[in-house]
Amino acid sequence: MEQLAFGVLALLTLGAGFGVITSRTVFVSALWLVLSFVGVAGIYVLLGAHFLAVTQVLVYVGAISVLVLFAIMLTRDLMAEEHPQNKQWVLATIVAGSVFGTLATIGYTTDWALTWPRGAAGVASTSTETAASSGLGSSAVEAIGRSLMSEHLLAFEVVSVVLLVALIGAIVIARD
Amino acid sequence: MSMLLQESSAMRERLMHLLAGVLPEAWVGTGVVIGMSLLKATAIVLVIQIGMLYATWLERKLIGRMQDRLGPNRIGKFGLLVPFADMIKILTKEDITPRDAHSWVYNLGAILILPPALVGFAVVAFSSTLIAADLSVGLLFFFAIASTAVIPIFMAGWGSRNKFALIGAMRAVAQIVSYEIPQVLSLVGVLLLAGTLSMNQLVGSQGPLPAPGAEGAVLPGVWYIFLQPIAFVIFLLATTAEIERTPFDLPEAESEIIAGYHTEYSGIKFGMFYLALYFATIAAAAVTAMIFLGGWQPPVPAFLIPESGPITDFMYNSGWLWMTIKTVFLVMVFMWFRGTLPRLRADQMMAFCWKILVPLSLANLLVTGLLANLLAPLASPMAYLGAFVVANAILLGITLWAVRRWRERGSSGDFVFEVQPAAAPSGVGGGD
Amino acid sequence: MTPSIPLWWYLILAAGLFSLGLYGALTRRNAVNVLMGIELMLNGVNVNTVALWRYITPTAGSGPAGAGFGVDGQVFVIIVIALAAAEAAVGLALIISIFRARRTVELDDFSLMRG
Repeated sequence: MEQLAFGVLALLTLGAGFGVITSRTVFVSALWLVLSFVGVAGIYVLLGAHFLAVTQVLVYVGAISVLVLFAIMLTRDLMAEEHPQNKQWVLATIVAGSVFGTLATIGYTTDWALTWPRGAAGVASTSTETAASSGLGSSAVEAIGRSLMSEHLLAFEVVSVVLLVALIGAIVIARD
Repeated sequence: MSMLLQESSAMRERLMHLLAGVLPEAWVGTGVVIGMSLLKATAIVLVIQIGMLYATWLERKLIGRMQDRLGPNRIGKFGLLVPFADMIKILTKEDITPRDAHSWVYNLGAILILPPALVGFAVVAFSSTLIAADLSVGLLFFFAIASTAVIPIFMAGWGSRNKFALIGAMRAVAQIVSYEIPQVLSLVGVLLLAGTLSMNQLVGSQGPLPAPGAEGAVLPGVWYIFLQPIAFVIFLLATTAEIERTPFDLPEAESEIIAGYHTEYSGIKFGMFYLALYFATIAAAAVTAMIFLGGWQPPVPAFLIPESGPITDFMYNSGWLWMTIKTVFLVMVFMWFRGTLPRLRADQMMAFCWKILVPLSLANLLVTGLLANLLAPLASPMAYLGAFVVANAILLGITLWAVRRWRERGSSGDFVFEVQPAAAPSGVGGGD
Repeated sequence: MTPSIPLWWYLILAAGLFSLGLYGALTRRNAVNVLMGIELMLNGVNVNTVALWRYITPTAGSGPAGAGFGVDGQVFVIIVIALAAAEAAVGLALIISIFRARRTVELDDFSLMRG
């Protein structure tokens, strides 16, 4: 069952990614991008990161995609509909291919020393009800909130400042 | 409550037996999951479809009465068969596709406008046990799905190859994206009090009946509309803007921009936009009822419910009744807005969102956070009620005073980023 | 009980996403397309992080003492998503600003500083 779900989602995500880089119209590339975001959200659900999946949809599909689409609308250059690839595509294929090969080989051949979350009795289990405030699935929201406010408080504050700066910067840059 | 749970597990058993005879062993589990999901989805779609049909009837009757006329009364008694006449009309209209429309983006836009409105119903709790997917992040899930509604609007606007459609689409998207912020911010106050994102637990925390699976006492025990009236008003207004109903229906204003992003659609494709509008209205009303009006909770305080007996059983099993009443009431409130309020201009709408709703929701969040922290050791619903009513009254007073002062000074008291040139020759660019 | 999906499936998916994004960022002529490639790369990285978090996270790590599953991986990805949003906003503002000045978003035409 999980394998079927993974197969469908992986096909969706990679297919949509392929659509992004090979579409002739910018707008259609953006739509494929939205589809790949949805696919990635599905992968997060499969991995048990429910809050993350919902955040992915909310931020990426609901906000970043809108930004991209608005930018496409506001920068429409009617002369540029042909030849969306530039002249470097041979080199780019080699580079991207070798990056993929390296990463895939590392991913496949490394012995990751997988450990599974262990329940109270020390027995490995995959059940998501392992502990009351476990970070998996259902109760992750509380754990994430606590973590953001205690261990990762600095990152949280820095990100909020970065977002403020980006907000102001984007408005100032995009004004007339 | 237990009655419905037994029914759904009985159905699961029957489905498992059915599939065990058909599928190989390893696939039965998958089959049961997919089968149960399909059953739930079908049930929801059927119920909501009937609800939507009669929402259109209700709208026309209600607005007719508000405008001192009768509304439809010819087809069927009181016009009750009008939705079916509408359906037949829309299905038999000629489907005109513009020649230059981008083929599949145009069609896909009409198709994809429905899922965001429908998928949200998966986390709506029609009763304490009738919830299709009791996600632990249910509330956020609903708003995430609602925020994906902008993509088909863009597709419709761009795919039509029509400048008016494009402008309408961009305006609609700007409106939706802007009003998402006060909508979700106003809810954070409620979340601080409830402590959970799960829809069922959120309803359960409004007392007097606990949600299935809740541990501990039911806190805060009162409906959130009493604890967070300002947040309720902000949420209601922002939601009206999100579902693009009057007074925020500029994208489809007939007198201004023809029909906005669905100008070029006719026949069943326009029917899709119409369906999506009403599904979204019902979903928005259902979610507002769940968050602020106590969802499936009966409207009696906790001390009036006896420990056992026929009244208690009735209270436990009648969740769907209260939920339906509250949802219909809120749908009528949305229609009331449509019948009485004039439409806002685009700049008025944006100013209202960013200059009034966002600061107010942030102030509300601040006050709520402070109070929730201070009140945490006291475990009594009455203490929460008293403190929050006072705090909200103060906040409302300050807001009204501030708005009146702002209006007296003239709204041109805005910040300017650059110094205006002393003598600007006419015709050079527009000032902000 | 081992899970039904081995870890390397997710890692290869993430590597694939990253490489597709890389190819897009290197080859496309429209600046917005390049930004889309960058977003794909960020998504690939995020999938990688979440997969490794799920399969490797020790039991102690932002969870209560000893028991429970840590959430560091998810927090990392949340922060990356927020930063990706900020970066997309500023990048697109820049692209819009350049379009206003030069009426084109073809990267080949942004040659003012070349030579």
